[in-house]
Amino acid sequence: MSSADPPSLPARIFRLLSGFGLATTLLVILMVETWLATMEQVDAGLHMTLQKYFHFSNWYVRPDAGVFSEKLAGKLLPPLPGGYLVCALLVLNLTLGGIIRMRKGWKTAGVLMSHFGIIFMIVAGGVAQLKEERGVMMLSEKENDAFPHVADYAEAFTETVVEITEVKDGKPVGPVRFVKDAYYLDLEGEETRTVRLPALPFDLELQAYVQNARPMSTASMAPQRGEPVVDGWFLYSQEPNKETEADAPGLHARVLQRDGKPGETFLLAVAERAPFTVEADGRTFVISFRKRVWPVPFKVRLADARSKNHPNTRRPKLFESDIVRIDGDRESEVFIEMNEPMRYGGLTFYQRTMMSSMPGQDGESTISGFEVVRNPSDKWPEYSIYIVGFGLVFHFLMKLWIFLFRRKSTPANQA
Amino acid sequence: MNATIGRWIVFVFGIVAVGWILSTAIKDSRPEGDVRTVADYKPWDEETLELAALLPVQDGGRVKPLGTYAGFSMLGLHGARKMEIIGEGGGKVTLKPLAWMLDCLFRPELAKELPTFRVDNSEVLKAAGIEVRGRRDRYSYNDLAGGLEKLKQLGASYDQINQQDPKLLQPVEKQTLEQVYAIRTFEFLLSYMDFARNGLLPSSAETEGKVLPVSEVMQAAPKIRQEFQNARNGQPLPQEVQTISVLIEQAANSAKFGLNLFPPSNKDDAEWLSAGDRIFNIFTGTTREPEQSITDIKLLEELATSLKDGEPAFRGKFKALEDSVVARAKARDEYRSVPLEADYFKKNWFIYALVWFLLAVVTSGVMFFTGKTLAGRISYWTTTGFLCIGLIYLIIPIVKRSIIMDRPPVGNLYDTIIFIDMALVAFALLVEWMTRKRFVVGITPIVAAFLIVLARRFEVFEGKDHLDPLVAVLRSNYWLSTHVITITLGYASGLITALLAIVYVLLRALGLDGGDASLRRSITRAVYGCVCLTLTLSLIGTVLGGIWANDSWGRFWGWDPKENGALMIVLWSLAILHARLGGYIKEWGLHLCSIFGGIIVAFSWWHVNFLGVGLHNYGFAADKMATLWKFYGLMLGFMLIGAVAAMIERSGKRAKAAKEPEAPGKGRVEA
Repeated sequence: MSSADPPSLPARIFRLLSGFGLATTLLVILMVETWLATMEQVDAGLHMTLQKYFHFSNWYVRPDAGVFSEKLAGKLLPPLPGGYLVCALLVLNLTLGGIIRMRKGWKTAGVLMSHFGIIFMIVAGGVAQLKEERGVMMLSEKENDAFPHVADYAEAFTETVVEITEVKDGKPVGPVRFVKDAYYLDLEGEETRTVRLPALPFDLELQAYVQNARPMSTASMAPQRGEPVVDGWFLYSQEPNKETEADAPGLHARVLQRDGKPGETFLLAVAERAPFTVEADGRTFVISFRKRVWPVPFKVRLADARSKNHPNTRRPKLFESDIVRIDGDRESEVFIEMNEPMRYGGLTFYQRTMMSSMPGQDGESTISGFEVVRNPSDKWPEYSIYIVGFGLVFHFLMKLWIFLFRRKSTPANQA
Repeated sequence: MNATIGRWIVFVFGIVAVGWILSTAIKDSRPEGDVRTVADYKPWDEETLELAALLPVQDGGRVKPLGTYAGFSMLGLHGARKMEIIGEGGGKVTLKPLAWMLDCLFRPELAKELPTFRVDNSEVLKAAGIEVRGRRDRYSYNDLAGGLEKLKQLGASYDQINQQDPKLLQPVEKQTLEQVYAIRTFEFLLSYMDFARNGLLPSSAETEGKVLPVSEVMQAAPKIRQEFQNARNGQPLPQEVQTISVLIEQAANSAKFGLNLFPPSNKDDAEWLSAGDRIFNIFTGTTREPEQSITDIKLLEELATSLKDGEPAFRGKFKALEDSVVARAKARDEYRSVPLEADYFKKNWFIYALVWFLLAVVTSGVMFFTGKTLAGRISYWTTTGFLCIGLIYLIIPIVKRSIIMDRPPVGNLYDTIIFIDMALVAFALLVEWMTRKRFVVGITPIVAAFLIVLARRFEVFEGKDHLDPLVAVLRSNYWLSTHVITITLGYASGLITALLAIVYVLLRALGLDGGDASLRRSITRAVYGCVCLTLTLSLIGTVLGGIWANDSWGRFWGWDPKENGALMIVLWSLAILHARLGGYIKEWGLHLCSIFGGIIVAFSWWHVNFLGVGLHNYGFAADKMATLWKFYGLMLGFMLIGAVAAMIERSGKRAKAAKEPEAPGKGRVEA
């Protein structure tokens, strides 16, 4: 093949994927999406906006931000590729162009290092989105309070589950079975989905998921949108909160007995903790709907919670907790405050909230809430910034040196 | 374009900019409306004011001099730190905050005559049936007296709406609410010393006109408490005790809010006490220092009643009070920064910096017209000198603020303005030192002066102390000094980049550079370097912020608007550098993109604070957005000028190339 031959198709694809053109385009798209997501979260709330712009399942985005005027929301803006896809392409572009294709030498060492650091950082973000689990653990200083004194579980912020537990003489028997939210999040109106439960004497038919539901009596309010009424009650669909974690979802369900006899529809709501009882095959089961609970591999006891305001103000000065971590037989006292989390056993505990079970006074907090996070890439961004920072500083100092001491006096082409 | 015409265009543009800065600075410092006459007003002696300035009080979560407290109280109510009136004998009197504060506390009848309240919308007063003057004017408490009750009723109803959802309030309702808050604050100050001036006048003593000092009644507190205890056990409560308890409660309430004057003796008690607290606590039996409480109240009574004996006597009593409070504050190690802070506010550092930058504007104008002549060289060095002095006048107060706050210099939005101003001037001088092409020296003084005016306007708009302590999550000197400083330096770098690019556009579009390729190349290299610097600072700052957030809230990235703004700067800088490396933008493209970078910096620095969401939300009113839109418009205007100039140049070159056949071997030159 002579040098005049056009490059092969794979070579052209490689050039395209590793080129500055793609890099520039992706960076600009990412910037525009960041801007639009910032504007859109004002009305749509953070969680919904992030799901829309940056969730891996969304290949493209239709922006609704009213960027110049609220009246223009949802108008004039073209669709854009999904943020996750853009980031994935950027990683590919950086790998091919910024590492593989890039000239290697001491002059490019800093940039190479920075590219590697940024890839590492984006990968950390991707891993976090796929693998991260977060929830809240609320603990009280006292026994028999609104929250437990000792706990070994955290409650998810937004995910819900349908829990099915067999009970005998008022006590749970055997394993608890869960139906994950993936089975019902998309159910609207009359649409139903049957969840087969082979280990149980019945199946479940799920219908009409409501993001923010409040059980209402028809005596106080008539259904507005044709919601199913069960024993004089229905799930009133409220406006979702901007903070999705504040929503209390609801769901309609029906038991399908093995003999094919359909049961009555019943309501499940996070706001209503009382479970629904099912009798089947001589056994008793309770079905409840709640935020997903996930286990923590050790116990935590709250010894003391303290909050303090700056004197004579309502400006918070500190939130801090003394806890006891109980891992098997070993008990350890740990201090947690803002900016000082506890990292242990692959989990991180952050001071999230504080309140009092009594009408509170400054320094009288008795309940402490911890955000519990399991994220395998927790510290990766920190490591990546050392790499990027070192690379950039090295590169730009070198450039500055050249600019100051080696610049040539030959005039440039007049642009 | 002819260079002379271009020069005049720039000159006129500069004059308009300086004119706006000067007029704003003057307008902000001068009273609106007619100067009020308060015929009986006699100014306080300077000696009294100097003494009063150092009295420590606890306010906003920290201990500060009375001068600072007075300054921000006056700023919040009056919208300025000075007030002009015609006083006794027809002479003009300029009241500074301390004098106004002493009037409120010790001469309330005179204070009611002072034009204390700035009213930006006369509709607020009209709704309460108060006679108004212009749309914006200043009013005294007595001017408002006729409609006060109505105004307070309106305020109460708007307050209810505000508690449900502040967004439901119309602008005029919000202003009414703010006005009522301001009146309430003023009334607290007016009534604070009532108990000390008037004492208690129970009906039993009324006929004799015998006034009971509160401190004397406080000595009888154990007996009074015993009477109440007896009443709970079924014994009758004497009428006189009932009367006194009511009067004491009134006295304590009138002195409860505002000035927290007295440090508790127990170091574990963080909260200083007001005179009202002292009175309440002794009657409720909740103080551990009854003797000191009585002594403190006695000091205030002696102080308030001494004024009728003349100012020297008043000073003597004030000194006694101050010595007592200072000794206790020192024992608690809370007096350390009080004298430094009093000195900081007295010196007006930023005003001097503004003066130096304005002088630099004048000399840079001379430099602009005199070129490389001797006069040009002298004006260049003078401009550089003035810029350096202005920079020093920025550094000193920033360092002092840091020492006073015992934290790194940037902790709130006001801090960022002055810090960015300092960094911008420093970066500009650095660029000048590296390039020696004068272009940056010419434009920096105007921007530096503008930022000082912006800082002053922001302070007036907020009307609050920006030396305030930090909320729990920000209380980390390590992260404040790394993440916040780096990000703020990134903003400054982004702004200087845009500024240099504007210089390039003006020089080239208006033909001021005479086609000097080396000058163009210098600016382009400087802009390229500044984009790199912006990227480095913003990227490192952003990720450091992420690491901090990970330690505080358990997530590296929370998509908070402020974080997003910083990320946008990073992404835009990266896009510029990659587009330049790939050859997609050349010189013009680099500069136009860099000006757009200035818009992104403004979005990140200011705009996100208006959105009403996130952790950096300042809850600004939408009307304050106007300035920001003007800035965006100005930047887009420069981009448009550059784009048009680039297109004209390109079409000129094409026409020229079409006329002249290309010489063999000569390559095409792109802009």
